[in-house]
Amino acid sequence: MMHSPTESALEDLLAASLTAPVYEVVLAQVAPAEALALVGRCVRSLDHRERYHHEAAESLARVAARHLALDREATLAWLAILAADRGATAEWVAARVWSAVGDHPNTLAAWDAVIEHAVGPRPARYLARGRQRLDAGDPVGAAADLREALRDPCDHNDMERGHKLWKRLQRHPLPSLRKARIALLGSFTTRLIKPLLELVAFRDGVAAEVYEAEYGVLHQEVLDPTSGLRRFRPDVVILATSWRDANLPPISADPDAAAAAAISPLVALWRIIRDEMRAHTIQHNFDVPLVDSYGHLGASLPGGRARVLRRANHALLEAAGAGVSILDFDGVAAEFGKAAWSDEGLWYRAKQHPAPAAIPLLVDHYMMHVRAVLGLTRKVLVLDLDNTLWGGIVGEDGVEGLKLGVTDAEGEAHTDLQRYARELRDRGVVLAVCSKNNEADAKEPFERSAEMVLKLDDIAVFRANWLDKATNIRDIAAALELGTDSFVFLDDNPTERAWVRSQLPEVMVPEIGNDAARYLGLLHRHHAFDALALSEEDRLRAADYAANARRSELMKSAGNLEEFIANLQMSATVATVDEFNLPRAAQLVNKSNQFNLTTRRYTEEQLRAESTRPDRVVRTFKLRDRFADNGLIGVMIAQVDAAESTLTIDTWLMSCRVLGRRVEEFMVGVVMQAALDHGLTRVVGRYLPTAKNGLVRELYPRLGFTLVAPSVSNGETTWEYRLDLLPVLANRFIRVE
Amino acid sequence: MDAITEKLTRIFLDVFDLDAITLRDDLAAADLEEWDSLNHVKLVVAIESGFGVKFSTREITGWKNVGDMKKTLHSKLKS
Repeated sequence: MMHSPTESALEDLLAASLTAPVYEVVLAQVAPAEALALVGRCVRSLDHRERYHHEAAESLARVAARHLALDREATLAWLAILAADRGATAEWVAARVWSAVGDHPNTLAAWDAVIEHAVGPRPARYLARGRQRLDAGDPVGAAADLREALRDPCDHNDMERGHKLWKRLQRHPLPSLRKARIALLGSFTTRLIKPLLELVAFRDGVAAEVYEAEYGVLHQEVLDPTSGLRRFRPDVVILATSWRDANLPPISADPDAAAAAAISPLVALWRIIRDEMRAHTIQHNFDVPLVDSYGHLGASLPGGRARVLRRANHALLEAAGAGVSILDFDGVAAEFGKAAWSDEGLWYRAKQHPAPAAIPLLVDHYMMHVRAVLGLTRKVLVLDLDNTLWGGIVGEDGVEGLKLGVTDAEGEAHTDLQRYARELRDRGVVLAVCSKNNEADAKEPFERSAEMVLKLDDIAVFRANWLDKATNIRDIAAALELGTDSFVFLDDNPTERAWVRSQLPEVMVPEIGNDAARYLGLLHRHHAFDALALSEEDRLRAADYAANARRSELMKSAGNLEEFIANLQMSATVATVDEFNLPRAAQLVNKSNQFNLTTRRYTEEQLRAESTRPDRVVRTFKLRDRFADNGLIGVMIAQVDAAESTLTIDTWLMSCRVLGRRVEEFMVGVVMQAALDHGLTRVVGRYLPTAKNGLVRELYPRLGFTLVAPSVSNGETTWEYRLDLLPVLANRFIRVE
Repeated sequence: MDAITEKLTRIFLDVFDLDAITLRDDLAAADLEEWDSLNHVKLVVAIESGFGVKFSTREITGWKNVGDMKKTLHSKLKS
């Protein structure tokens, strides 16, 4: 046996900053009786210097845990002494050794301390406590820890370990997650990808069942109606292909034809997946390889392989219609680093592509698409102000003292964050402010500083007060009428982040640290707001939420309802159905359930036909107010019966977004006027009850109609309004354009 | 047990999700149910990252058992 290392020798090792295996090698030579004492000294020495080396802590813990088998009593006594130490290394070693002892209460308490003091790498500490919680019969706590472990991007090893905990969790009933059936079809092996995809799906609240085919048979799987893929009935099909599938020569004589030939077999599969399997396709584009016999010419000659691959990537985007999204595989490779993207050895041996280390990033991108398909894209960004949106504290530093704009490095970073938020807003993300501040102080920079990119108008809901932030976020959600599960919360203060996370675990709270320069990158990498398409409605909708929220603010400040409605300064456009408004009118007719008197549905063609009949009155209503253009919000269809001198309202529906503003009064007034224009003296309305339209049961009597035919078995009621006796209903709140 | 064997043992336990294993030199993939082609890929990746080394294709395809793996590892770590 070697000499026992002296204390000074150990000190030398520590001073030389030699870590992990060295402790183990040295301590392995020590007589068992001395080992514990030496571990203790090493721990104290590290903690005394406030140095924490994770690998060293793990090594020391292993030495101590080995001693457990030799002398349990002595080890437990030693642990008790260690517990009195407060350092990071002591806490980690104690937690590891307690885990080996197998005593749940003490083990969990030790891991709680580790987590409270943020000792060791985040994935390691949460995975360790998660395992202990599951052993102690707490699968819900274990699941929460697993999610915490995965909160920030993890490396391949951490995720492999995480997947083992995930597998054990599958035996326990957990709170219901969104279900998704995902098929993974690769032209290379996907066996390392599948477990990581399952894991990140779980992280994002999706219970994914993943189907995996043998590699290289994606065409057969899709084309054969009896294949395992068809039986699996996927919601989403990932076509995991790479540059090799394009099968290109180094130089193509006809680059366009070559690009078309590269993508056409894939395009044929999309059609079948969409039309026959009713599933969404996530299609890899082609990753341009680094190795090319033509070198630079491969990218510069029109027919060069790299250049044709890029052309094919363009063609994929052009070809992808509804139900297909293109995953930027080449972009993922660039993000990861192309030099490390391929492990050629693994490719030749196991048909593994890309390198395992790149898979965590790849599955993150898969989930970005899957979340968008499932409608789990986040919609709201809640921003803190002091040291988040600007540098400094406005209540103390004043507007002039804030760091913002290009004259200051930190200020520039804050300005870029504001610009990013402003761009998010422009593409449909709703912005809100949640700040511990006096409201007047908080608003002052928005009103007075020329350096502010964001204006008060960009913020849908502004909460600056001294209430706790979880309460304020709930309040913001209520004002926007959106669930907190569509929220992202950005705050530089770790205490606020932790508080919101603990109160509202469904809110995404990125770890953005406290360096303004890094906020943007750390927020962006979560791809929280990524969508597969951008429609005009998305933009309008965001403006709409903001306007709704401001309307309810106005509601609070307005003394009474009439005043509030008058303050909205509404104006309406009344028209019949034309080619421009037909799609939206048909959508509303077929979608509205609540404010819908008869719930009769019309296709676009039927609606067009109705509008051309001389014995029909068809009206569409668009509404604008001082906050927003609400677009087309109502449709009415009525039948002229000259013999009875009656106009009968066959269909009447209105968007619930404009409830409570006396718009219905305006609409019926328009139809009454139409009746008079036709020389009719009576307007008749029917109410056909459904499970969803209880809202309008009392609408006709409220508007002054009287009952003519009482309720029969199906609950239908008929109402009339005598225009020979009563005036046309007028509405002073809505101006006609 | 030498430090290399100990560390190798830890990697085997981690990859194969086992509680205990004795890494005898003649232990081969056929002896262990968990040692399939997928886990072999994971094992090589884990050993490479754990020891900070990179094996050549010839080295990996030449392994018949744990003894061969250790021989390669020893020669890598010595140089």
